[in-house]
Amino acid sequence: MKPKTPAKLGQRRGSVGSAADRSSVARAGSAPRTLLIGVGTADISPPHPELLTPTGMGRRVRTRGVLDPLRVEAMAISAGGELAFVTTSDLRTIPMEKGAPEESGPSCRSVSPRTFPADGGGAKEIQRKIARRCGCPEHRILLSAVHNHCSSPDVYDSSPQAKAALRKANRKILDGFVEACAKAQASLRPAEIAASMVHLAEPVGLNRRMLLSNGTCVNCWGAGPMIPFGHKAVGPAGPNSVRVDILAVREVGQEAPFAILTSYATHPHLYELPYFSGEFPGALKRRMEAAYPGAVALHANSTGGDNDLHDIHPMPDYEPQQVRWFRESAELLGDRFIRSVLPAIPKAGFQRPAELRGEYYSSEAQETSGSYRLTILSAIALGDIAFLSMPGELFVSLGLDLLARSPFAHTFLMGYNGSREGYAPPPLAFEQGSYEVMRGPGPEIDPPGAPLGSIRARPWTGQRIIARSLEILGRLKEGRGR
Amino acid sequence: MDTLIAALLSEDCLEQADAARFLGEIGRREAVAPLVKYVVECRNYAKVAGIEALARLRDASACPALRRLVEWPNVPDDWYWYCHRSVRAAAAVALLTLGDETGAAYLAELADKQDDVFFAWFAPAILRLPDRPRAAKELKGRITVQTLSQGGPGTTRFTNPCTAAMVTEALGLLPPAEARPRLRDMAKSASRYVRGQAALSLLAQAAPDEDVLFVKEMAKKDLTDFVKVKASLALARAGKSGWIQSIAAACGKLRNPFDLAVALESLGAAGRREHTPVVRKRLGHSDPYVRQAAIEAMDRLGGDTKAVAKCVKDRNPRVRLSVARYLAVREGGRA
Repeated sequence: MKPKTPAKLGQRRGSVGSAADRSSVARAGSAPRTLLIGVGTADISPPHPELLTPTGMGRRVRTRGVLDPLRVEAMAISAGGELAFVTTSDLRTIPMEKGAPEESGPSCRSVSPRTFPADGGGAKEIQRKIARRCGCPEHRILLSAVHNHCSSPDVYDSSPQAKAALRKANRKILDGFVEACAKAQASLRPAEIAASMVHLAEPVGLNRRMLLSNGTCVNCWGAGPMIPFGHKAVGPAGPNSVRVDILAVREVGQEAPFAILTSYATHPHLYELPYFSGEFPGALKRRMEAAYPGAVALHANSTGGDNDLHDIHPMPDYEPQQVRWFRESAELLGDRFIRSVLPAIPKAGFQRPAELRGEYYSSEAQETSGSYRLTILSAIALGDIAFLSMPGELFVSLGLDLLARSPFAHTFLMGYNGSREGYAPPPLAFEQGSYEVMRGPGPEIDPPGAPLGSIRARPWTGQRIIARSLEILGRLKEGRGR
Repeated sequence: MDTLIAALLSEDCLEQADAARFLGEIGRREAVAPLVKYVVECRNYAKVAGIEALARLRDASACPALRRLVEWPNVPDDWYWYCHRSVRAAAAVALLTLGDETGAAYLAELADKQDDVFFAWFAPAILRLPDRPRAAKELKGRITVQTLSQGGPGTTRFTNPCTAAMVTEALGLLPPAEARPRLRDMAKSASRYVRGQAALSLLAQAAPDEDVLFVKEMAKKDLTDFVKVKASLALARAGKSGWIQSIAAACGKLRNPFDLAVALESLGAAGRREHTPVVRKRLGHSDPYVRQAAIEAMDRLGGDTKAVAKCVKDRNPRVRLSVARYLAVREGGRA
């Protein structure tokens, strides 16, 4: 299809009645039936980083600052008179609610549910505030995080200053989501969308579970595997993450997209540097936006529980060198990612679905009393494209299975939405061992008040999440979503 | 040999580790200097394979480099995990193999801390050390059924199958009368890989009929092929007839490539030439690890150089290294 010229675009845009439409959508409740999309971003870098610490990996020294800014991105979608939001963020995960006790330890710190945010709680509060501000049903607000381990602040120590800094940082995160969504809604415009998929030509995320000759697995997320005497390395225990799903959004008839969403599965943590940083996802978004000036890049981590960025290790020993290595590695990986993705960004096949449907599932009612376990699935469909906000830490093989079985031509998986299940591997991984399953499977019945960090998947958790996801995607495909 | 030595400089840490292992197995002194350079300069944890190779080569000229690695392993510090400490421990164990006590204090420090590096990852290697020097004997004495069964705060030694399997391997090296009850427990593990190791460990030393019967039940009734193969190998090693044939027969039915590779390894370990055709057939298997296992088994079975040499241009570099090892052994003889 030959792209329309900007002049023709202007005429056409007028014919869709965009100005009036946009203002009506901004007021909410009287949205037009044609497809309108807008995007917005907001900075969520913590204001007092030196009093805080990024979470996900332990830090041995006090935080020095913000290496590069953290961000939340939102895409507002209006079609068929319905409104929805797709959000991505540089957080480690979307926290669910306050009040759940945490388990201490360098690797399993959650994002301060004790204090996030001060006046309510995580995902539900974010959705409530966005809903109130933008007039959108809460379940149509899809949340996700890239699982960035140089983000999601916690207090560095127990001082009142640190606690105040955390409240401020978490307030900024909460406000950032609302601000990004409001900006996205304010910028709604007639749009068309197309999706594609590409396999990375160069390594970015690699499987981080190394299979040994005795059948068990060892950590392989930094400088390779340790192979105990008398054994040998077989190879990675599962697939490397190579698949990237790409959504391009452009104004009707315009050639260049104004928003690009990518979904890719991998842990983004390079190293536990004492800085806040957008990490590899930040780098790829910067590069994407440099390639398309004026566009907003959104990036989601899908099911990267067993993949990591260790192809750029080993790292240097000393902090100044590590900072440089960290920056260079983030950019190098961002560059590898972009080099494969840019040529695959759709140039044709754009569509303007006139109907938006949504589906929502929460396991809340089925969880045992006092348990903090929770699976939330939230999906919207636009024509033959679906977006699914889901738990994080599923293994790549499960994500590929879900994508292969999805009834939609293109499905965007967006993980780390505030669900609490822990690592969700295929059952065999529990027999193989290694970090993700090192405490064994979770009990069939969670003890009341068990620390948040102690929640562990059961052998069937991953498969059940996939089955539930396919159920709601199936209902959406059949037009049964609301 | 040149191919293997050159592979120590590969960009792929698994190729490096394979090359190091093979050089250690071939056992020629010309490998010592390149291996020393590898373990000193490489910053990857997989270089533990090179440290093990130096221990196998038993050449005291490696000691200065190994002493330095005990102090400064030249790998990133993964402080909360075990790899950095493991490289140091590996060097200390290698030194003890070479009769040098320099690293013993570090190993004792790990033991004092109930560290899994001592009581899981390197427990079998420590128990296999000779009783001299004296420090080796003392360290071996610290590994008992009781100390293996404990763990530091927040231990995952037994919930994590990878450490549980190493402990199970170590239990097989302890006096059977003490280790048997614990090994019976491990044989009930939810992990097939721990159960498989338990079968081997139960019959690793002279075992009562009761244990032989127990392992026979595992070989017949376990729900997984992996355990059936391992239990059959345990029985074959214990001198029970017919079990290695059952592994050979299973090779035609195993669908999982890893299980098949384990079966081929077992045939190689049994060393009966009559199984050469079964192994040879898998030299062209689609899975590279199966091809590697087949080549290594061919070596142990006495070889078929013509068949193995056909793999010299295999598309997988690690398989090519296995071929290089096979040919190096045949061309130069094992030291």
